[in-house]
Amino acid sequence: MPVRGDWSWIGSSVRGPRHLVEGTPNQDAWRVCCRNKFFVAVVCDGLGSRTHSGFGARAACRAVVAAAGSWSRAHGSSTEALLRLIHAQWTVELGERAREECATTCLFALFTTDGRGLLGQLGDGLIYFRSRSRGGVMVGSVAQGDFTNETTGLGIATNLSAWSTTELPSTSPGDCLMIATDGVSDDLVEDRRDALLDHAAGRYSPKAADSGRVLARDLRKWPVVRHTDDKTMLFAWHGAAGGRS
Amino acid sequence: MSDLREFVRPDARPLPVIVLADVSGSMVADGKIESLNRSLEAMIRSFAEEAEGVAEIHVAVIGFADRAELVVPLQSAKSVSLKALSAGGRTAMGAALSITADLVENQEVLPRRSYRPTIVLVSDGAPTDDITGPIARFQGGSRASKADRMALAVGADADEMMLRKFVSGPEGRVYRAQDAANIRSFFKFVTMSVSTRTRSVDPNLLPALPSPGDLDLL
Repeated sequence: MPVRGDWSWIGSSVRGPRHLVEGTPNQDAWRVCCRNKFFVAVVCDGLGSRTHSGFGARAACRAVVAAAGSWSRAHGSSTEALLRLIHAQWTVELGERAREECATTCLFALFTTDGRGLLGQLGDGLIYFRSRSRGGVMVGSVAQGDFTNETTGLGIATNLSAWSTTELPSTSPGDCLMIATDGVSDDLVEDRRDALLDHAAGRYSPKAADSGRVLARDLRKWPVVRHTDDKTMLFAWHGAAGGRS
Repeated sequence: MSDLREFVRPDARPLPVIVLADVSGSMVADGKIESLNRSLEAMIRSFAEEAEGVAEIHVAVIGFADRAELVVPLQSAKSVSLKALSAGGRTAMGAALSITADLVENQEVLPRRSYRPTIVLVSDGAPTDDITGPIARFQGGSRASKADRMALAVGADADEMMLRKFVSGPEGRVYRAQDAANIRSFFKFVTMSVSTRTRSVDPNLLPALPSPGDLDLL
């Protein structure tokens, strides 16, 4: 399964109007890591009501990358083992901070060189993977809340059943991925997801040095009346289609 | 303007308010139906003028007598044109609760981007149809059970026990209006509660408001 050098990506995260007015920091975080044995993309949304949620979101990004590294080296390791590893690594990352004060959603896509693919989602937001051969795949709705701003996450969930996961076979050139926090995903038109992926591949081209800033500007000018949330979007392409930020 | 606008729903996230109004024959007495109509109209007008909140208030009205009817489908308060409700017939409250549960559970009608809905039930009598099944949907339904629920018992003949079952949960509240004039006080309270939610950091949370002094909290 191709990984090394075969993925390109673009991501950006901006503060929402509420945090801008309050002068408080962005509580979303995102991270991509492409190594010899795996590619992983992760997006986290710290819960606004918690004291250290921004720290928790950044810690979750680091935790997923670290867990992905260990998991990708262990052939035959289960999905459950990876999720337990993420929870444990996140707890380590928090140090002495209380878990519940660092609560965050956690959405990731992981592809390994030995042919394993996994989408994982704990809490609200969106992961949308489109395979050139199989069409669009979304992670299940187990972890989604029933209404906006109602979610679970690291620091809240007490059982792995709160995760939604989807295993994927090997990827191929042309496959692409979109991950977004609920500040974005709750406003997306559902039947326009594929069109959005196509649009992103053109607008956030790897040939454009400022594609990350272009995405950030589009997120800052979010065209929804009275929106308040921080916003994070990440696109990744197997093969050359996107850029880096 | 963002280049993403063609992929995004531009309208504000809705905060739904669903009113179940008893329009049975007994509501004719003592000017209750007139007071209910005036109160509903004032509440919807106030919601339509609400411009400061992070959410846009949407309203649905379900009337129930011999049968239950969705009088106002869920829509922005700004677009509601409410015709006066007329009273007459029995009290098909179970049917009204079923329509409400169907509405709340339907993500086509009430999308996930909505804030937690408020459901308001007003009645001056006892249900004349089966209520057990519909009530259970508010206790066990995935979304219906999470709705903020308030009820108003109008006069001495209202079935308080049933209203308590409807609002069951730590946040549920049942008030009593001694007479028709108090119906207005209740709807003013609902208006204040919902408007406060739309202006808060998290509109899913209920504000801590003092109960209206001229209503009994049961």
